[in-house]
Amino acid sequence: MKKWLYVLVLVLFGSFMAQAQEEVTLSAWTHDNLYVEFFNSRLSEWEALHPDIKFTYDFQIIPNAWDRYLEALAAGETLPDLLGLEQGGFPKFMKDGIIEKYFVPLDDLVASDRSDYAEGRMSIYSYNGKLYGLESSLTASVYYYQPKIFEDNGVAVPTTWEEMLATGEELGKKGIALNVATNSGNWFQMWLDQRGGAVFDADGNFVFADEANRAMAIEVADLIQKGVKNGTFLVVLGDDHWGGVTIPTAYREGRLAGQVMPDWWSSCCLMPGVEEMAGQWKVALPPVWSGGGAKTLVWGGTGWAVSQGEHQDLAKEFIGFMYLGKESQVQKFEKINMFPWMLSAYNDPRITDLEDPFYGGQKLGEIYAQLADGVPVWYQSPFRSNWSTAVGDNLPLLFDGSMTPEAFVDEVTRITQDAIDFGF
Amino acid sequence: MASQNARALTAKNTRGRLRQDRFAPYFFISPFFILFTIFFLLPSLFAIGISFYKWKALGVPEFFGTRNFERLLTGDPIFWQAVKNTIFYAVASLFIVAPLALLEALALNSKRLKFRTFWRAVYFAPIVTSTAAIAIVFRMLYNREFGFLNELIMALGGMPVDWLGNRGVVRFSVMGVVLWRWTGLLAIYFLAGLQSIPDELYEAAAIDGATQRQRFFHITLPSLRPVMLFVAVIVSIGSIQIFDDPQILTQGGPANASLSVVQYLYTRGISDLLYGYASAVGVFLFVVIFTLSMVQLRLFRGGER
Amino acid sequence: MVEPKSSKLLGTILLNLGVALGGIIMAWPILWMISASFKRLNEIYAFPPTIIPRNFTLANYQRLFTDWPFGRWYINSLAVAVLVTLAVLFFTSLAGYGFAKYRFRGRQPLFLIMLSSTMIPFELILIPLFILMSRLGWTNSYTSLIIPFMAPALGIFLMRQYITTLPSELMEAARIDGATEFGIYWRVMLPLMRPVLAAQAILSFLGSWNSYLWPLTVMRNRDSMTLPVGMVSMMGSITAGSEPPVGASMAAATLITIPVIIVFLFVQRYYISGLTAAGVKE
Repeated sequence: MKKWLYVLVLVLFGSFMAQAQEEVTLSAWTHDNLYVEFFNSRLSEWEALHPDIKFTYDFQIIPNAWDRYLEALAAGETLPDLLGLEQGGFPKFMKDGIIEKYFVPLDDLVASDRSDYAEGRMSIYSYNGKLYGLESSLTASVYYYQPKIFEDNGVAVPTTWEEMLATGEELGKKGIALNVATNSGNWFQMWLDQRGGAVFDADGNFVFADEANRAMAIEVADLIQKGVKNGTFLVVLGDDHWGGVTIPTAYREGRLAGQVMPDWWSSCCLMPGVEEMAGQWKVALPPVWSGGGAKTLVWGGTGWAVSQGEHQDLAKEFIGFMYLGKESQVQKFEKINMFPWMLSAYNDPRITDLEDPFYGGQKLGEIYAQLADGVPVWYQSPFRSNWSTAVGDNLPLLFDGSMTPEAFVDEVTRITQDAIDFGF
Repeated sequence: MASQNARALTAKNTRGRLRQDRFAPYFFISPFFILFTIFFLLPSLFAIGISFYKWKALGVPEFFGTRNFERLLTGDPIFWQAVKNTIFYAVASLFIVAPLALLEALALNSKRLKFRTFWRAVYFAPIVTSTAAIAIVFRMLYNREFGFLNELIMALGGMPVDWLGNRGVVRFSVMGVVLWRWTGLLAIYFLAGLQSIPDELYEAAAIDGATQRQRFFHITLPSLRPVMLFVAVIVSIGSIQIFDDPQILTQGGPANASLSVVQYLYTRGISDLLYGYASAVGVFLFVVIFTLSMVQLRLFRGGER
Repeated sequence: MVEPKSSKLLGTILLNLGVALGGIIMAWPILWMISASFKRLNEIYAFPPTIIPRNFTLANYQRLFTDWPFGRWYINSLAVAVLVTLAVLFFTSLAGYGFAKYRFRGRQPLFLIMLSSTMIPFELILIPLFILMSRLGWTNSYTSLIIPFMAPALGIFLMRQYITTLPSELMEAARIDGATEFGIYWRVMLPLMRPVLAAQAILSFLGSWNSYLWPLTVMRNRDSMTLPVGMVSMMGSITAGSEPPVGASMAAATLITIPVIIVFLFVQRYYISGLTAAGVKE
C-alpha cells in the first residue's frame, strides 16, 4: 500500500517537473481593460515566437493597480510579472528606490531607435537615468468639441487659451461651458507643462517656486480661476470626472461644448459616455498660450513596468514585442485607439488616413501627426505625488474664489516643501 | 451565589470533580485572552512603539523620537482639518441625530400611532443596510446635475445645491447619510428606555392633573437620562471613528472638507505606506477614545446614584 | 385626559402625518435604489423619477456577473459572515458562561480587562494588524477576516449578562449525573441561551456582512474581495465600451441590502433585544 503511494507521488512529481519546463504563466495588473484587449489580440503572434513554451495568462483589471501593487509588495503577496503603472503612480515607486529594487530597467529595448520615441514619454518613467516603463500612448491632448454648438452660436473654435476665455465669457452667459475643470494635480500640471513651466527639474529638484515657474503657475491658475468664474469651465470634481454621468449628460443637453483632453480619453470616456452622439463630434488642435510654450498638453499615460522575478526576461520581451517598433505602435492605434509615441509611426497611412466615424469621418491621425514632436518633456520626483495631492486639495479653493492664484501657488509650494523636508 | 452552592455541592459529592471545576472556567475564557493578546494587545503596543519611528513600509524603521507627534500636532494642517471635520460629525450627531432619534422613538412608542409595527420596520430597516451600498445610493441622489435631490429642489423652484462639491455643504451631506443610517439604531435604545418607564408614574401624574408637556419634562426625560448618556457616548465614539460614509461619498474631498481622522490614518498608513506616521494618528485616536470612555464611566457612576 | 378632545385629535393626525412623511424619506433611498437597478442609465436620472421602470431591464444584474466576479464576492461575504458568526457564538457563549457561572481566582480583574479592551479603537491596530496579516500570509484570505474577530469582548459581555439570569440548579443536577464541565455548557446551558444566541448571531452576521475598512485593507485581490469592497471598486473601474456602472452598482447595492432587510423583518425582535441588552441594561 505504502509503496504504491510513493510511486504515485513520484509519478505526479515527475509529470509536474516535465510540465514546468515548458509552462509559463505571465501575469499582469492594469486598471484599464483596453491594454488586456490589445495583448489578447496579439497573443498568437507572440506565442509563435516561442514555440517551445506553453503560455497561460493571468491578466487582472484592478482599479488603481499601482497602489494595490505597493500594498501587495508591503504585504509580501504574490506580484504580477507586468504592471500597468500610471505615470501619476510612478513617484511612489521612486520613494526608497522601490522601482530600482523590484523592477527591471528597459533601456536596451529602445537602444537602437531611442531618438524615434518621444522623449517626454520616457522621462516620466525614468529613475536614476534608467527607463522603467514603456508608455502606452502619446497622451497628447486635442480639443474634442461639438461643431454644432459653435456654428449655432456663430463663434469660432478657440486656438489659444485666452481666446477660449473670451469665447467662454460669451457662451457662459447662455449656460454653455467650453471645457471642464477638475480637482486633479495632474490636470493642473498638464497646463503648466504646456505653458513651459516645471515642477521638478531633470535632477528631481523642486523648482515649482523658482521665479519663472512661479510666474507661469500663477498665470495658469489665474486663467483657470477666471474661466471657472465666467462659465468657460464646468467644474466636475473627483470620480465624477471619470465614471460619472455628469459630463455625458452635460454634453447631451448641450451645456458643454467640448473638452481639451488627451488621446486616450476618447476611447475610455467620451465615446462610451455619449455613444448615441457619434458623428456629432470633431477634433481640433488644442489651444496654446499666447505667452509661449508647447503646442500640446499631456496628461496621464500608463507605462508598463516589469517586476523582477522568475519570468522577468520573458515579461520584458513580451512588453517590448507588444509595444515597440512601428508595427506594434500602429497596431496599438488600430486596435485600441492609442496614438503612437514613436514619431516615425506617423508616416504610416494606417494612422494618418484613418477616418473616424465618431468624429464625422475626420482623420484624427493628421491632427496627431502635427503634435507628436511637440510633446512637452517633464520630470518625475518621489515628491511629485505630494505636490500633486496638494494641488488637488487646493484647486477647489481656487475654483470657488476663496484663494487667489498667488496664494494657491504659494500654499502648494509650502505643503510640498514641508513634505520634502519631513521626508514623507 | 448559586454557583458557590454548586461548588460546595460538587466538592461534597465527588472529590475529583473539584479539580475540573477549578480549571474549567480558565479554559472557557482562554480563547478570548489568547486572541485578544495576539491580535489586539500586542498590535496595540506595536502601534505605540512604531509611532516613535519613521517607517515607510518598504524601508527600514528609523528611530524618530517624538517627531511624528510634533508634526502631527503642530505642523500638519490636513490632520487638523480632519480633526475639525470629525468634531463636526460628532457634534452634529449629538445635537441633530440623537434628538431626532428621541423624537422618532417617542412617535414610534405612541399608542396613537396607526400601523406602529409597520412604521417601526420602515424606520429600523436602514440600520442593517451596508454603508458602502447606501453611500453609493446617496452619491447618486446627491449628484449636482441630475441627482434626485436637486431635481426636486428645482421642481419646487429652488436653486440646486452642489451637495458633494461645495466645501461648506459637503459635511452636511455626509451627515445626511449618517442621519439616515443611525437614527433608527439610536431610536431603538430610546424606545427600550421609554418602555422601561413604569406606567404607574404616568397614571399618578395624570391623577395629579399634570399636562402632557409636564409629564414629558418631569417623567419621561428624567427617566431617560441613563439612556441619553449611553447614546451620547456611543454616538461620540462612533462618529470619531467614522470612515465608510465620507470615504465612499467623497473620498474626503473636496479639498479635504469632509476628510475624517480615520480616513487620514488610512491614507497615510495604507495608501502612502507611512506606518510610523499613521500609527501616531492611531495613538492620538486611542487617547481621545480612551478619555471619552473614562468620562463615560464617570458619568454612568453618577447616573446610577 | 387633560387636553380638550379636539386638540388631542389634531395631535394624533399630526403624529401620523409626521411619521408617514418621515417614513417616506427613510424608505425613499431604498425604493429608488431598487427601482434604478432595473433601469437604463438615461431613465435613472430622469425627473420626475419613475418608481416602476418604463423600460424594465435586467441588464444591470447580468452585467454584475459578466463584468465583475460578483458571484464570487457574494460567496466570500456569505462564507466569512457565516463562519465568523459560528465562531463568535461558540467562543462568546463559552467565555460568557465561564464568567457568569464560576467563581475563580482573578475573575473580577480578568473581566475588567476584557471589558476595558473595548476601549482600544480598531484604528489604532489597523497598521500593525495589517503588518501581522502580511507576515502570516493571511492577506487575501478568509482567515484575516475571521480569526482575529472570533471572540469579541462585547459579545462575551452580552452572553454573561444573559447567563447570569439562568438558574444554576440545572448545572448542579447535571454535575450529579456525572456530566463534564464542558458537557454542562454544551448540553444544559447552550439550549437555554437560544434568545441571546440569536441576538448575537444577528449582530455578528451584520457586522461582518457590512464591514468595509478592514476588508478594504486586507482583501486586495479581485477574487477575494467582499461585497462592499468589490462594489465600491466597481465605481472606480473604467470599462471601455460600456456605460458607466451606475445601474450596475444599484443592482449590486440591491443584492447586498435587500436580503438582509427581509431577514431583518423576521428577526427584528432578537436584534433589538440583543442591542438593548448589550447597551442599556447595564
